[in-house]
Amino acid sequence: MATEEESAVKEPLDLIRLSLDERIYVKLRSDRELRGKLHAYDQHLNMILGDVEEVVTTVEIDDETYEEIVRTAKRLIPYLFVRGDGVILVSPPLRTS
Amino acid sequence: MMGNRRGRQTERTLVCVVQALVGLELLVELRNELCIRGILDDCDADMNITLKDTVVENVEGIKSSLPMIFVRGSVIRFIHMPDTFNVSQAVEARRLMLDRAETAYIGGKGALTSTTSGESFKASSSTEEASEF
Repeated sequence: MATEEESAVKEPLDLIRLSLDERIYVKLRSDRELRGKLHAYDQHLNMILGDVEEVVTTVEIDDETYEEIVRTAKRLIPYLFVRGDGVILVSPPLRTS
Repeated sequence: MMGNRRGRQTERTLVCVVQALVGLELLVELRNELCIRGILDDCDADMNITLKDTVVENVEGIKSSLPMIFVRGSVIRFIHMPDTFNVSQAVEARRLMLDRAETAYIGGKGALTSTTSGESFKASSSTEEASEF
């Protein structure tokens, strides 16, 4: 029988626990973002994600016009282990574009 | 078994998943944008890994074939796993294997023991051998 105590949110990692088996948004270092289904995580924020879309954002500055060209590269990865030291934040998926 | 009171530390983190991937062909992405496809040979508690029969591809797409690579755990960014991989089954199987290995080593009835004369692989439950421990 699951009681209120067992699902109590006591510390920040418990918030991530609430997202298990849900789709989440992960912001990583090096301007990368992941969107995928959270299968597992640990205290280092190592994670196992399924059906992941990775978005890599690069900003180039044109030599002549000096305008910023923002490029995004997307990739689909079916089953991914993410090392926790690259993780910046974890969130439910953002409702944008 | 007294030294194992705290249990295996790696079983409290996801490193045990990487350890359970040993023997499988994986794609490992490093923080320096290197991609290594190879068979996972070993993984330790710090996620340091050795990969064999590898193909290393850099950002420019240049590939090299290296028979054996050691990668420090801290430089790993991603590990692409086969999507048919059953994580809980593999981790549990590995845990059982380690438990059995511990029990067999310490000894017990029917376990492999050695006699003082140097003979080995004598499976028995005789009391004179048990007294060695």
